[in-house]
Amino acid sequence: MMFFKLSLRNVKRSYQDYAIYFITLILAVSVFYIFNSLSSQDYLVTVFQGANIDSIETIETLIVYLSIFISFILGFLIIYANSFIFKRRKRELGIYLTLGMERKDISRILLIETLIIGILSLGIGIGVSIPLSQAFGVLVFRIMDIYIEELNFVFSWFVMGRTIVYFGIMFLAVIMLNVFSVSRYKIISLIHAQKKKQKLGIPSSWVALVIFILAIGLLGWTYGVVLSQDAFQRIFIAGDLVPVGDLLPVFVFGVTGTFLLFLSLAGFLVVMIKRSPRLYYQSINLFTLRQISSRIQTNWISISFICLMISVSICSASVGMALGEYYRDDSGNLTPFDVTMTFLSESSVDEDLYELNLNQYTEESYPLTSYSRVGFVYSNLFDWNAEMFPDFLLIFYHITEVNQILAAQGIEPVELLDNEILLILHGEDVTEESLITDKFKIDGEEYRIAEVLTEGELRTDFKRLNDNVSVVFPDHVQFDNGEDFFKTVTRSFNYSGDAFLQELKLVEYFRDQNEFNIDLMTKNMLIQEEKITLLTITFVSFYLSVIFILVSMAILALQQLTDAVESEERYQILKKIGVDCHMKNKSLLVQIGIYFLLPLFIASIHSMVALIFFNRILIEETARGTSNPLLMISAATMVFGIYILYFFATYIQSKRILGEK
Amino acid sequence: MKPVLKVETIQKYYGNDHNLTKAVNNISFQVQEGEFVGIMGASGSGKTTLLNCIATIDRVTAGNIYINGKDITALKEKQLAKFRREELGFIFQDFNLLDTLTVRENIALGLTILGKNPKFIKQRVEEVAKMLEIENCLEKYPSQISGGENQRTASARAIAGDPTLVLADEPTGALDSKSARIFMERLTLMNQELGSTILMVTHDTFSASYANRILFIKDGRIFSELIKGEQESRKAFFERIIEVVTLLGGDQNDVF
Repeated sequence: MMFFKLSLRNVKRSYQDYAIYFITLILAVSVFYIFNSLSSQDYLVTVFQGANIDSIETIETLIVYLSIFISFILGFLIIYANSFIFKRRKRELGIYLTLGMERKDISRILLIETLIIGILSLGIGIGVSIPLSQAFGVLVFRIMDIYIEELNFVFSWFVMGRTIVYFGIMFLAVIMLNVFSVSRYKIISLIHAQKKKQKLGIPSSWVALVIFILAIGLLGWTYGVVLSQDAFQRIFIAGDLVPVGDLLPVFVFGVTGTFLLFLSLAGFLVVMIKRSPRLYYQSINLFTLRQISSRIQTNWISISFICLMISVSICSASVGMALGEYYRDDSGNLTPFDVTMTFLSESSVDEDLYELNLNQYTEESYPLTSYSRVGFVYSNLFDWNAEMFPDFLLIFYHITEVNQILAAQGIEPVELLDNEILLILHGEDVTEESLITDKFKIDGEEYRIAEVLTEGELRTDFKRLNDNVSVVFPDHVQFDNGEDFFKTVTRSFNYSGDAFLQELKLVEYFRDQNEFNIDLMTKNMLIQEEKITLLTITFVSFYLSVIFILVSMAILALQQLTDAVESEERYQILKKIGVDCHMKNKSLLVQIGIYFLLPLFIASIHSMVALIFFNRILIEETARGTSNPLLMISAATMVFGIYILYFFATYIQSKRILGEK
Repeated sequence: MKPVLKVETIQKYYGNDHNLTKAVNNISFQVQEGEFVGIMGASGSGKTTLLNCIATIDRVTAGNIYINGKDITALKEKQLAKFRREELGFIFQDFNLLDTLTVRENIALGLTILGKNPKFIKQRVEEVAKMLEIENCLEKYPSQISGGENQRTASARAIAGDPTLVLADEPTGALDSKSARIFMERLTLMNQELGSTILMVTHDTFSASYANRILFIKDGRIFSELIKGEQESRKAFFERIIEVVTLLGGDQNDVF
C-alpha cells in the first residue's frame, strides 16, 4: 500500500512531465479504438444491410492486420516516450537506491506507476472514443454518401477487449523494460545522470553548403521528373501496371535528397542567417539559431524520417479520398438489371430455374447465351496493346436475345442482315476510333460491322470488367460447332415489388443453397461491394495517416523536451547576463515553432508535387481529380488539431522545465 | 570622481527567529568610478552573499544599494533583468559561456541583448577580443579553447557593453597559476585602459594583489581595508595583504 501511495503521488506530482506521454497514449488508444470499432462486423452489418458478409469480413480482417502492424509502431513510440520520462527521473531513482530502497521495490513503484498511467489512459481513451466513434462514423458515412437508416449506437465488447489486450501488451513491454533498466543501472550513474553533455558537431559551413546544394539538386531533379509530361506519359501508357523500375530512381533520389537536406540544414541555416546581420545580431537570435541548428544536427535522421512519414500520410489521405470518390461516382452505372444469374452447369439450367421459382421475384426475365472461341481476341478488332494487357477473348451473342435486353433498357432494337454484326463497346481502350477493321471473319464467313453501340450493357456482372466488347451476330450463326468454345448461359431480371425485400429474400435463399450451380450477382451487391471498397480505402488511408502524424508529433515533442532538459544550464546563464523572461519565452516559441514546422513544410512540398502527379493520373483515369473539399477540410483539421495540441503541450512543458529554478 | 557603487548599511539574514544567520551584517562602502576593488574573506564570511546582492541575483534584508545613483533594492523583478544587462557585467568562476555559441557569438550576445546595431557589434567584438588577446579563437567553441581563454572570453562579454560595474566572482578559481596571471594582467588592463570599474570577490591573495583597494570581510562585517599606494609595487602590496589575511586568523589554508 505504501508503494501504491508513493507511486500515485509521483504520478500526481509530475503529471506535467507525463503530459505529452498521456496525450500520446490517449490519442493512440482513441485512434485504435475508433478505427477498430468502425470496421467491426457488429457495426458494418448494421450499416450495410444486405451486404455481402464476405466483404465485411475482409475489411475487418484487413483492419485487424493493420492494427497489429500499427500496434508495433505505437509500442515503439510508447517505449520511446517512457524512456524520456525514465531519463528525467534517473536522479530520483538514484536517491531511492541511496536511501536503501531495494531494486525490487523501485521496480514495484515503476510497475504501479505504469499501471496507473496505463489504466487511466485506457479508460480515458476508450471513454472519449465511444461517443467520438459514433460521431466520426456518421461523418464518414455522410461524406461517402452511404445512407444510414437510423443512427445505431453500436458498442462492441469485442473491440474494447481487443484494445485493452493490445495496449496491455504494450504496457507490459514498458514495464519489463523499466524493470530491466532499474536492475542494470549503477547508483552513481543514476545520480549523475543529469550531467551528461550534448555532443556538438556543426560541420564547417562550406561542407554544409555543398551538401545542401546537392540535396536541392537531387530534390529538384526528382520534382522535375515527377512533374514532367514525359514521366507522366511513360507511366500512364503502362496504365495500371506501373513498372516499379521506372519509379525506383525517383524514389531513391527523393529520399536521399530529403536526408541530405536535413543533414546540411543546420549548417546552411547558420550560414544564411549570418549573412543577414540585422536578424543575426538582434536580441538573442544567435542563441536561438544555435539551439535550433544543434538540435537539427543531433536529430537529422529522425527528422528526415518524420518528414517522409508526414509526406506519405498527406499523400495517402488525399489519394485515398480521391480513389474513394472515384469508386463512389462510378457505382450504380452500367448495371442494366437488378440481378444476373450465371448457370455454372448448362445441363441443369431448367432444373435450377424450376427450383428457384423465379416468378416470385420477377415478372419477366431475360435469358442470354454467350460464346467465346479460342483465337478470337481483342487484337483482331482493335488497336490493342497485347504486350501490356492480356489479349481477351471476344464474346459472341445472338441478336434476338440482345434486342430483348436492349429493349428492356429502352434502347431501339437493331436489325442485322445475314452478313452483318453489331458491336457493343464499353471501356476506354475499346472505342470506335480504336477499331482497326470494319470486317470480321469467322468459320470462313466474312461479316461487316453494321453498327457500333456504346450504350446498353448486357449483363450486370460485367460491371467488374474494365473493357468489354460484345459481338452480336445474326441468329443463324453457330458458335458451338468448333472445338475450342466456351458457352455461358445467364439470365437477368429486375425485381418486381419492393426491390429491397426481394433482394433480402433472394440472397437469403442463395445463402442456404450450397449445392446450387448458379452464380448470383446483383446490382445491390456490386454497389455495396464498391462502397465497402471505398470504405476500406478511406479507412486504411486515414488510419495510417493519423497514426503516422501522431507518431511524428510525439517524437518531435519528446525531442524538444529532451533538449529543454539538456539546455537548462544555458538558460540559467542567459538569465544571469540579463536576458529577461519575455526574451527567453520568445526564443523558446521560435525554436519549438521552427522545429515543428520545418518537417511539415518540406513534407508539404513533397506531397504537393506527388499529388500533382497523382491528380493527373486520376484526371486521366476518372476525368476528375482529388476534390471533395469536405473530406480535405476534415483531414486537414485533424492534422492541424494534433499539431496544435502537441505544439502547445511542448511549449508549456518546456517553459516549466526551464523555469524550475 | 563620483561613486559608482554605494552600499549603505546592508543586512542579509537567513533562517528564522530562533536560528538567525547574519550573512551580511551592516556593511557600508563605496566604489568610485575606475576603481578596481577586491573583496577578500574566508569561505562563509559573507563575501559571495554580498556580491550576489550587488549583482541583483539576491535581495537584501535591509539597507540600500545604489548603482549609478539608482537604488537597486527598490527595483522589481522585471526591471532587474533590464538593469542587469545594461549596467552590470559578470565574470563567474565557471565562465558561464554558452557551449553552442562560438567565442565571437558569446561576446556578441552581451551586446545584442542591449539592442546595439550590427555594425557596432562587429567592431566592438573585435576590439575587446584584441584587448583580451583572444582574437585568434573568435571562431572556436568554448570547448575547443583553454580555461584561461574561456575566462577572458567571459570578461570580453562582460565589458563589451561598457557596463557601469563589472562584477567578478572568484574569476581565477578554475584556472591554473599561469592562466590566472595572464587573466589578472588583462583584467588590470581593462581597468586601466578602458576605465572599467571592477568589483572582484576572491580568497586568492595573488589575484587580490592586482586590485587598488581591498576590503576584508569576516563574519558579515568589514574587518579591515587596504589601499594600494601610488608608487607601491604589486609585490609589496601582496605582502601587506598576507599580513592582514594572517591577522584574520585560521585562514592560512585558504591562502596556501
